[in-house]
Amino acid sequence: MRYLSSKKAKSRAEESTGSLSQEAFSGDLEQNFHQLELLLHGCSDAVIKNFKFGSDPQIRGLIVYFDGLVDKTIVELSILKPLLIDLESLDGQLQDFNNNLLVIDFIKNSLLTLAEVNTLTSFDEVCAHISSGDTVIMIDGCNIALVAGTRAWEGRGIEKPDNENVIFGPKEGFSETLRFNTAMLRRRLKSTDFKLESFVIGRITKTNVVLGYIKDIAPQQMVDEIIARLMDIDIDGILDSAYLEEYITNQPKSLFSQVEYTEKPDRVCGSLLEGRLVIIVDGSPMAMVLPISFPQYWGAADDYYTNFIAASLFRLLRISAFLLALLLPSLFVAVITFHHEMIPTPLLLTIVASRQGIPFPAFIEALLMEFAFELLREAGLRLPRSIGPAVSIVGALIIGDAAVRAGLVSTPMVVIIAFTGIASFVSPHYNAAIIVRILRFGFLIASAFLGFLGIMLLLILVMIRMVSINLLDLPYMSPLAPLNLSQLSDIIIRRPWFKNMYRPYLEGMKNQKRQGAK
Amino acid sequence: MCRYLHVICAAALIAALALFSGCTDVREANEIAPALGSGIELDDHEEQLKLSIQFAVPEGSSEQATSIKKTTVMSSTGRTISEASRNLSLSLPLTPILTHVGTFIIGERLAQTDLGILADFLIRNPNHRETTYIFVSKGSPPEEILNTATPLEASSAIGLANILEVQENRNAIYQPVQSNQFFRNLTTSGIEPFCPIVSVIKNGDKKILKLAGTAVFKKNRMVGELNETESRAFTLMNPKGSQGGLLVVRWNKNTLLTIEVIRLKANYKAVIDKTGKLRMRVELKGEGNYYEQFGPGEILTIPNITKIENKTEQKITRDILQCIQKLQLMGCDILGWGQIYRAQYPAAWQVMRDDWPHYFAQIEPEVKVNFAIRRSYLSTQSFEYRE
Repeated sequence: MRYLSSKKAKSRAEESTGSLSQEAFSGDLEQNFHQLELLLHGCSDAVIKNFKFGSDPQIRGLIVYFDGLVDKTIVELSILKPLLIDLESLDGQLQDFNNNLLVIDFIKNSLLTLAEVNTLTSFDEVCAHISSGDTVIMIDGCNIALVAGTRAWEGRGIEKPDNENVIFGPKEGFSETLRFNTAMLRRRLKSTDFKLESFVIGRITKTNVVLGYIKDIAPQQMVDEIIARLMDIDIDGILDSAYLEEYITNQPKSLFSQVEYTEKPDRVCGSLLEGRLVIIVDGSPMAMVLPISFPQYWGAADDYYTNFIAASLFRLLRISAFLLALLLPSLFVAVITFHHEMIPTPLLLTIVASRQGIPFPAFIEALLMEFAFELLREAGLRLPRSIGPAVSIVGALIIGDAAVRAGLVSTPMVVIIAFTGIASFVSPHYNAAIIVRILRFGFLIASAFLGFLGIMLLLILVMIRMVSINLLDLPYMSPLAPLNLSQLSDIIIRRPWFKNMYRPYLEGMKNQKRQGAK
Repeated sequence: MCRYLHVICAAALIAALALFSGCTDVREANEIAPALGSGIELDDHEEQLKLSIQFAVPEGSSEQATSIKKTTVMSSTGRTISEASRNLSLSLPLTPILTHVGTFIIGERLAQTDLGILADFLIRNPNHRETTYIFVSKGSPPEEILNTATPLEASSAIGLANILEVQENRNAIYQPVQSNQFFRNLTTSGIEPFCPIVSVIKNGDKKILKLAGTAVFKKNRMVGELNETESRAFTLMNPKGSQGGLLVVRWNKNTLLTIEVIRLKANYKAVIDKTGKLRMRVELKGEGNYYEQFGPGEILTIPNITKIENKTEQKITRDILQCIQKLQLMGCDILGWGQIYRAQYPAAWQVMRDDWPHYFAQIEPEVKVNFAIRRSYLSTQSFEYRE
């Protein structure tokens, strides 16, 4: 409920919903009841219960909620029991009120044993609240309604994130329930400076979206800019945080993702402490952290939980894996079709011997193998878990063995493609892995036509593109370009914590010092 | 129009790539014949050049990539090297790849005639590696050298290069000479080119290859050679310092000692004295181990160590003087002493430069060796045999 009652909740999308629901309550309960029935017509999960409470005079009231979204125990014990039973013990109280509006104030402040109770004035708000799991109480003769926070739907619970395995560090991950997710963050950042601004986006979904940042660390103009961009979104529905990426980045048409998705609250907190922002969408376990520069994709969550020397070596390993995944097939094709002089003689002889009788040029061979590899990967992703291993068996047999036996591909090529595949799995960020997967094909084509020259040309083009991207004044390649040596030491390697005096610089950041005197 | 400009540009770029791909030298790995060694010799009438190239014969399949087990040597003749090469390609089903040639053999007859014939081709040709080892074949043409198998290595070209490298590390008799060094010596005044000699010898029924001396050039022609002992002394004089290698020193009539040289560094000082006489001070400082005692008696004792060192110094001095004497007789400064004079006496060098072989022959060498025995391996004593 607290998200809905946020001031920022007024978005254009919300204003453009149907005219029926925008009406205010009338003082007559009967009329309100009909209005509600009209609104909730066809919603079989909606529950409207009429009741009478108090004595002398008896007052008619109703509660309305969606079944499955509310905790019925709370509804029964904290709303209906006080009204129907506890009120009896305060015999004759109600006749002191000559106005039912005073009654509703009494119920709100003195009768209901709930912490979250608010007042509503329009059907529009009623719809928004009941579809979020709150219960609305209406009383005859009142043109305001009460809303009680009774949300308690069945969620997945807190589980270990599947896609971000770590050895060290916290294991819990976000779930689909926004409230749990924000709680996980709040538990780690016990400061009122940690702000969670709430929005409702989506004409139909009315999805709760929360923007989290730490005041005085995150640059204020960055926060304002993102708020403005979020308020500007007009769409019928938001089902995942990824919907928002294309609305709030500067270059939405670009292949290069400028945000990071994570399911790990500890990782989000780490980013928040570096002055970044997080956007969490109700119904999605993926928190979106922004802005991110490309070199940060080389870091993994547990780098900061491991010994810094080991973590630095892992990071270097990841950087080399990134380069291998990007360039290895194209380098191989360039070397064996253009630049034979660049490899040692015994290796050339082995490659020449292994390619005897192969019908395809090396480029086509590499392209086919890469294509097959991508097919396998996609198939493995989509298949039900129970038959997933079948794909890897078929894949290993067909690609690894049968294709070689049939003389369609050469053994060195299988080794190269397999090695590239493994290197591409090293990336701790799926976003970065996608970029590498797609660019790899580009490099392969460039190398097939022009050899090293082609690879070099494409590399220059990609570099030009990458340095021209920025999100919220953070250049995409920083701290590599523009070069910032002091920050680079926490990108290429993992700087020990006692040396990590400053946060990574963001435009407009005021409080950059991380430890020591303020 | 402008909206789709980048799409059009990208399409044009891809189309250009596709069109230009025919112009580039794409050579698929199964369509190339890697050459491992090559050689050039004058033909029997000394009119045409004979080019011989050793190709690797790939024997493998996609399933089992075996490396090269067989080689084949192809030869052709022509008035120039390019012409010979063109004639060779008329009978080759694959594209020859010459960039992996690691061994280049100059025929003896050609070496004695004129190196200039091949120098231009090899320096100009981008497919010729600077690190290719240069040899002179003696007694047999390059074709036969390339055709003679080396034990344990299918390709004689690779085998020959390996022999040279292995003996350099273990025995340090012959100095490997790479193409860039060879041609630099050829074109620089004050130093002459040299390279190892390779010969075919009989070993039982089989023919094998053997390194058999150092070819010594004067200007653009081979004028003589150093034998094994002289080559060894020449290697010891290498100012870069020689490592490894064994020296056999006679202790007395019945006993030979083998000293292992661990390091030996030569220092040169050129002197022109008041009378205008040229002298070259060669100072060698080295260390070695007591490696083998061939003969009876307790020799390795503390008083004897100085004696052993002296004997070793004498042996090295003798060999070196012999080598220098031979080079002076031929008038071939492969030691690069001319360059030392050029550096120390630039003015005098201007006078001597044009007639350097003459001056070189007159240099009086002063060799001083300082050698120290360091270790004696596992045994500190000699064997005493009971009667």
